Amino acid sequence: MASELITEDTTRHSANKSVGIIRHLNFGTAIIVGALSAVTVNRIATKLIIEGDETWRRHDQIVMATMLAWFIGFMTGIGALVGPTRWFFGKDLNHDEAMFLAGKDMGLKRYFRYTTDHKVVGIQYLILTISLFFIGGVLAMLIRTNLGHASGGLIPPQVYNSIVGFHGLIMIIATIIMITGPFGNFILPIMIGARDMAFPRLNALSFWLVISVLPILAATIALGGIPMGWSGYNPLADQGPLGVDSYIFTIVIFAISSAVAGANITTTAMKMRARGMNWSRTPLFVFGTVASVALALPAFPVFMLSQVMSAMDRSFGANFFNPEFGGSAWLYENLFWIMGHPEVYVILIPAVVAIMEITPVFARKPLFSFNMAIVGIFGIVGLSIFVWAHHMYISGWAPLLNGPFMLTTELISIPTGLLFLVILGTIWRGSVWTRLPMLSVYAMLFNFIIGGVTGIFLSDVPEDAALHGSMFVTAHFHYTLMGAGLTGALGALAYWFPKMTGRMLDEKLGRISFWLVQVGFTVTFFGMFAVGLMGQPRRVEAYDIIFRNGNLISTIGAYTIFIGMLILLSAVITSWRNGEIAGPNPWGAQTLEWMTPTPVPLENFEVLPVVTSNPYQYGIKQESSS
Amino acid sequence: MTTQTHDVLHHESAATVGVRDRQGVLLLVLADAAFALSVVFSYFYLRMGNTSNGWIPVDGGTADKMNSWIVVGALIVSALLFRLGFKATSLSNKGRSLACYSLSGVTMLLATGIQLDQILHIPFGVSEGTYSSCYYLITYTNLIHLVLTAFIVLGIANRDRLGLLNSEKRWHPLVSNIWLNWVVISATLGAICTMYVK
Repeated sequence: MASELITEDTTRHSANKSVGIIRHLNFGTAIIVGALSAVTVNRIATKLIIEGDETWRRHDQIVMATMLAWFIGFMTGIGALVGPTRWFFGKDLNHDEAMFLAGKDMGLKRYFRYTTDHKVVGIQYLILTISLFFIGGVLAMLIRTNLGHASGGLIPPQVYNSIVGFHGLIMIIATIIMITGPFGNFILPIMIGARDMAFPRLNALSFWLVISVLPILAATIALGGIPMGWSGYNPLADQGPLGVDSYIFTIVIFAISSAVAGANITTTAMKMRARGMNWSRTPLFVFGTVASVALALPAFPVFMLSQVMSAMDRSFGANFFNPEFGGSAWLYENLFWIMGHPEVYVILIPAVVAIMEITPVFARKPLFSFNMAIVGIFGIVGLSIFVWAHHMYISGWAPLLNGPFMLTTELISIPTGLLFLVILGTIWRGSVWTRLPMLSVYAMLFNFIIGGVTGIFLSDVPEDAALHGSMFVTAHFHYTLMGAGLTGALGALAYWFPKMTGRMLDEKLGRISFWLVQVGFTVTFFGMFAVGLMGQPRRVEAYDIIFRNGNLISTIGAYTIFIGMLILLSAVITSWRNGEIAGPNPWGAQTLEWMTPTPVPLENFEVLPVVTSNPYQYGIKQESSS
Repeated sequence: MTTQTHDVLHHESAATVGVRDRQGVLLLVLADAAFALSVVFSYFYLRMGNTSNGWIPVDGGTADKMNSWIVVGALIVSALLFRLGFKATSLSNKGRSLACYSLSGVTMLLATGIQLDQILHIPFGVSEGTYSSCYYLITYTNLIHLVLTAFIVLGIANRDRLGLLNSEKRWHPLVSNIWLNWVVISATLGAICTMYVK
């Protein structure tokens, strides 16, 4: 069937004339249409919206209208509305158009179009994630440089607050998409033996939605920043500058993108697995990715609502969060953290399962207890819905619930521990092949233990009363999200880089980067733990002299991380361009993505595979075949 | 809908693609339900809190409790007509299905119009207490639902007119029906909320 399709395509592909308007739409047209819409609506809104007593509300309304116009214009210009419009008029895609949208024979141009091929979307997400980490990293360096001196002074306090908020927001977005975006899109469909995602156009939509808000996010800087921090706490946000409107708009669109991506990835994994791939033969990466996006699916709309309310408060004078007129700051905190804590696991679970995917390949032995891993993943998902209020112990909201929330939070360490056991049990007495991906396994185990144990400290109500709002908390969540999450993502990058690019990631540069990042990381955040325990609050741009040494150590460590990351970036770029050519399966792995040629053809498989065994039969494969 | 790609490129059967569509729509409904339930939670949270006695507008003006139910009523009629249309499609009775889908679309537009009219005539401003803020939130989010659903229903009617639907190709109306049912439930939740004013 596949070969028949390819023959058909070569005869028809030159007939691009039948492709119609889709052919003319790309990133360039998106920017032009978006900019024209924004300018036009801005002028109209400036004239139409009457200046009342509350001038700032008028400005918020104009900014919101302008951003909405940009967004609609951009999405129109990229071609997102072509599909729904044609569906409405009953003019469904023909073969040529479907091929064109899939990016067939389009070279680099396909990365700048509304391309539906999951591999293109995966690469687009990879570039986006790297870019976001770079920007977030530069902001982190500004923060740490300022904190290198007790008196601060490098950055004005208001700007400093905005930089901290901007750093947090960018890094949260980056860490949420860092695995499900690049690898969930590129690898997962191949891993389950599918030709594409379940909803290819929704796949492109989820990516371009994120791209559409990047200029809006960048506009935050010009509009006064987000001095209330990435969590956007109200009523503080209500009093913030116009940059808060950018923040609100970014969150709303990102939530929609996450919902679309979540529905797409979940449906793909549930309905498109290859024949014979029952749940016990499905790789853990699929379970983890689905668990993550399925958790995000109901969680992010709650956050989205909080931002819709915030927008109404700011632009129209609604009173959701203003206690003076009946609102409640606790309502915002609840809505935020109902999303906020599951979100930690939205980030962590894919990273841990990527590590679990890597471990048996490099330990050369079967995965230790597949079932325990499943119990661990879904135990975390189940419990993560009931832990949000541990972020609110000190806020005074429902003190009687502090005990139950402490219990659920501490319980979550049990399923997390199961995942640790699976990884350790797999390594135990294995013939470990210590390549770059495997180094990430060790680093993640080390960092996650520290992040997890300090998390148990903070889940304890009396302990949290002392440490809440201190640098100790900052160090704790960096240990989980960066030490465990990002390290897992870097392992995934090293592992799947050959499949995605056709070339091996430079091992030597990768190792130098690895050690610089991990040593720098430990130095940075141990320094932060120390000053946190001594009582230094977070989100301050100057501090007492007694915290000087710890902060100086943290700043030195941060520079070490940054240098290590720059080396990794250079390794990625040079390896992608001139690296050693990778064969289809350089690691000798057994999951389906390694059974396809590299580069992976448009439809992934010439003939759809049939799965007959579980994917972790390392070390016993030869015995069974003989 | 987006799975036309699989239909055209990979020659998968309409049923295979349709099962996926159904799954996808159910998941999107889950996300939308999380949003709707958060609205309900926020409504009752603010009502029970009544911080600074700021729930009800100072002059005591509230919306007519029947307003939301009128929209729900129109939505239910539209959903029933759509369901009849879907049954007619399953029986390949094109004349009946087209009539039902078209009437469903018209009723949906009517519901949208009623909702818009109600919004334009709300007897209080958005800033007059948290009840008013919640009322605006519920009606506006409902309006967005209605506009989106009208687009879908009219699209189905048009596709039926063009002969693109029959007993074999009935997955689009089926998944649209799921969405329509959810919109009815969502509007009903909003209407229930607005019954509890004081």
